Amino acid sequence: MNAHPPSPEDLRLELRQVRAASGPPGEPQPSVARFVARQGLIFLLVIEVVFVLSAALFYYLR
Amino acid sequence: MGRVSPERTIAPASDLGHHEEVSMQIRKYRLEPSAFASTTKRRLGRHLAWQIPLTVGLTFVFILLSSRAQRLEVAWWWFPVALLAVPCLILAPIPRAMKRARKAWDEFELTVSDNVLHLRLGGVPPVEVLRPEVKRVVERKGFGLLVSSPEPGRQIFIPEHLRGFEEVREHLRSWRELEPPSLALDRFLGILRTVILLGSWVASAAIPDIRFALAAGVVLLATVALLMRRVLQQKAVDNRFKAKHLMVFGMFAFVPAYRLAFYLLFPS
Repeated sequence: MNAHPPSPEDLRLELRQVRAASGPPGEPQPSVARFVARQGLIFLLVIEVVFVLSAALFYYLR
Repeated sequence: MGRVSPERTIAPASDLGHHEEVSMQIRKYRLEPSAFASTTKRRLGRHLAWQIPLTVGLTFVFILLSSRAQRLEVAWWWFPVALLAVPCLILAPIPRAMKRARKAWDEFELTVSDNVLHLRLGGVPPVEVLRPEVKRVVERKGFGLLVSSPEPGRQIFIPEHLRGFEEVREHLRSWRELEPPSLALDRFLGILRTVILLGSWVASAAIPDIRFALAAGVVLLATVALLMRRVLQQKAVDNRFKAKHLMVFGMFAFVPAYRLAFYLLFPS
């Protein structure tokens, strides 16, 4: 292992070698906003179902 | 079970079309597949221990506000239904989440050279920390090593379940002295954040005087904004995880808006 700090040029070279050895990055994920929109929609749908269920229950037990 | 040797590569400089002779070791490390089940089970248990009470609590506050605003007992019918629906909502996605966790576990790949630490995770751009910019290397026994850079959120966590962990640990020791975690400070800050978050949340929902309730709401929104910023800054965290946390924080932020809306709609 190197005991001395590397020069910026060596470091850049080393970084490129490590990136090349590591291989291509995997498939990128959808954005955070897209996940929030999707999960938010699912959440709202579930809330809607719960609301309808509770309203029906209330109507039935009234 | 014996450890499997990590992959070793001597990187040829000719690959880069560079004339300079460079000889270095590049080693790749992956997580131990057999450790997945026990680790995930433990993590899931911890996760559910706070998620179920928190979600039920949020629902309870929502019902409390609804019943108070509507002056009806109708909202209380929500409670048994919500009590049943909320755990289902949390438990139903677990099998799919486990599948995703397995994939992430298998895709975890740490590449180490003399001066570079490069982490590849599925769905996340690779995270890199260079030796000269390492700010801290914190070792937490039983968990692993956290290598931090000066940029907030650009840090690499190396779990103890990594094949060849000891080798990486020794390598990082040559970079920087390993530090113990400041557990007391971390716990204090964690408790402080939780107290501010929950305190301002409850206060914004329950204080009768709307001015004080809104002041608590401002504190709540500021805390939520800070927490959201911290989550978004994390480089080695996938977008699904970030979105989930933003949603939870968003639920907290919803309460002052809800309180204000009901104050304006039902001013008595």
